[in-house]
Amino acid sequence: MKKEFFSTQTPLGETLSLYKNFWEGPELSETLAIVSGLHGDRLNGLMAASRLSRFLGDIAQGREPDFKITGNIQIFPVVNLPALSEGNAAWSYDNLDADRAFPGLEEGDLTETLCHAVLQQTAQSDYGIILQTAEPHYTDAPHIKMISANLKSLARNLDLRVTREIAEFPALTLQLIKQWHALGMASFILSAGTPGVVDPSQSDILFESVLNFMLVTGFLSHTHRKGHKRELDFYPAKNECTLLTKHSGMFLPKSKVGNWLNVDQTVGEVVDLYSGEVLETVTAREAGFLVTLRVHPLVHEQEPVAVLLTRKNKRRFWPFS
Amino acid sequence: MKTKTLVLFKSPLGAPVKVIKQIFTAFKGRPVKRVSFVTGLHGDELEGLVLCHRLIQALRQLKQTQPEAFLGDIHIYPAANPSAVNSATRLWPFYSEDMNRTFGQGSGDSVPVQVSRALFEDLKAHSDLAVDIHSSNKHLLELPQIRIIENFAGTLVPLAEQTCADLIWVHPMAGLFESTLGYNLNLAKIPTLVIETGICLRIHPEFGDQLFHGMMHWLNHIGVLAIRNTPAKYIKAPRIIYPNQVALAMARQSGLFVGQARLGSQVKQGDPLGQMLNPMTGEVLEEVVSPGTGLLFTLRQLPLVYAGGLLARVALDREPEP
Repeated sequence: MKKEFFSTQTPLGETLSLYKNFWEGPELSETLAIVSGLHGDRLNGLMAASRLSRFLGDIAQGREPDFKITGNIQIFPVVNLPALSEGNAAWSYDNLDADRAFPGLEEGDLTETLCHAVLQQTAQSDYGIILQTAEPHYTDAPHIKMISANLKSLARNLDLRVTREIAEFPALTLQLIKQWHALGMASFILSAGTPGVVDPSQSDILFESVLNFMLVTGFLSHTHRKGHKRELDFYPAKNECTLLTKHSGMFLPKSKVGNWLNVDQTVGEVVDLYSGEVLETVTAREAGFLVTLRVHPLVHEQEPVAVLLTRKNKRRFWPFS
Repeated sequence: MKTKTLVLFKSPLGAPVKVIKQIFTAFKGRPVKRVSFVTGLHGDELEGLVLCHRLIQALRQLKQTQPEAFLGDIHIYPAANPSAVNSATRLWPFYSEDMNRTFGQGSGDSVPVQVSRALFEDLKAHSDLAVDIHSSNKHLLELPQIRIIENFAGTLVPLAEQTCADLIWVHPMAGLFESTLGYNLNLAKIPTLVIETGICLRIHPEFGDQLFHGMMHWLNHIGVLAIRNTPAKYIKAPRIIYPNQVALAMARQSGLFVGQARLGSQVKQGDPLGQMLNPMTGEVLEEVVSPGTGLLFTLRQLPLVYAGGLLARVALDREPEP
């Protein structure tokens, strides 16, 4: 169940440990790794991981008699423990973004060794799911992110409609999902909500998504519930439309993530900080699904305030596709 | 000298965020070469700001007294990440973005990435050679050195040999370099030297002197300037080291590292470098000794260390036995 997989001491001699929860299925079962807490402020994932651990613990203890664990499941609720303790995305000691520090180092600075330990613990897994929120200052509609379009069929098991391809960029090499991908693991990021905030409705969505995945992929079985493969809207990276401000000032959103916006529909306004005068109305350049929206009001000129997933070449995947 | 504003964004409160470069053009005709110096990608690395100041000051004076000495163009970008410099932070504040991890295609549209893109395009358009100047993070103090990814060693080592740095460290490629300015410029066929010197948030005038004279010497060597006034005491051939010539001293336990060696000194294997202390119990946890015989070129300055943290690097006089 709960197992320490990394331990060191602080300079003052206190113990600093990382733990995972794990449940074993029958021999030769496949393994699923679930990771949250890469950043100390992405709390919806942490909440969902905690709920999953309690739920799987209940199954293992016989308190959910209709469910059975039929695969190996590992949950790593926290990676960047020092950052979480501080309430920051990264730990102030090294300012290192843990999701830019993979594959890490066996011997090195603490964040690098934490990343190394998590990668080593998960490297033999068949599937990997990272639970996240949007980047700082933004909020995300619940959606799936993945590197390889070949995983579309498997992504349907996650029971979220919107799936977004992760564009290749150089620093991606330093992210956990890319490392998993290079190891041949079927890997996904589930993102929902805003950093620094726990939104129970968003963490419920993450929880239900992973639960459905475990049912359909065979990590859990239930006496009558089978899970389902959902119709999927897959958006290639090239279909993303980022909306930038023209003016600096305060951005006030007038839309909500998760909505479909039509061309010219208002996304928000930029107002002058001193006069309150509306400097600009930001509108949708193209019709699309509003997946990411700015929540922090202060914006520069040319600041990205929204990401739309557009229908250009959009493909819909249904079980028979 | 001409001043050009490269990028100009209005910040939320109206103040401009601008990246400025200073340009010294060839005296006449086409420049033989165009060289760019960049610093301040990390806003807390101040040694580069001093070096750029020294270069701008000297080149301005030279422009007045000996303008014919300029055979090439020199572009100096003294603060590539002005928001971070103003805050003295490594990362671009507000975004917590490491600007030296944003280069290369497809890194997004955030304001830091847009600035990186504009900087990169300007460097590409106006440089035949470049120098990217960094200091270490807050943990380590470094002797002035040129770091070269081994893929580019054939081109870069001969250039670096004329910089009067203490060391040229040729190291293997790693994933983290893929998004850096130096790697991407080298990939774009603009040979770029990456300098690492000193420590963040501090200035070491002796390192600044050494690198200033080194850079002037280098500009002469590559034919961009035609002057011969490098003081003899600064002219030296850097030691070239390869990965198997770097020995590391790592912390075996967490604690408080109190160094007792001097950076730049010649050390023998087993020489004391410092002690690792337990500040709560008064115990000496570990006598830290040199992992080899050679030049001590990196030394820990931030005393609080976690097990596995780097304490020192030694450039070995001899390659270890296989």
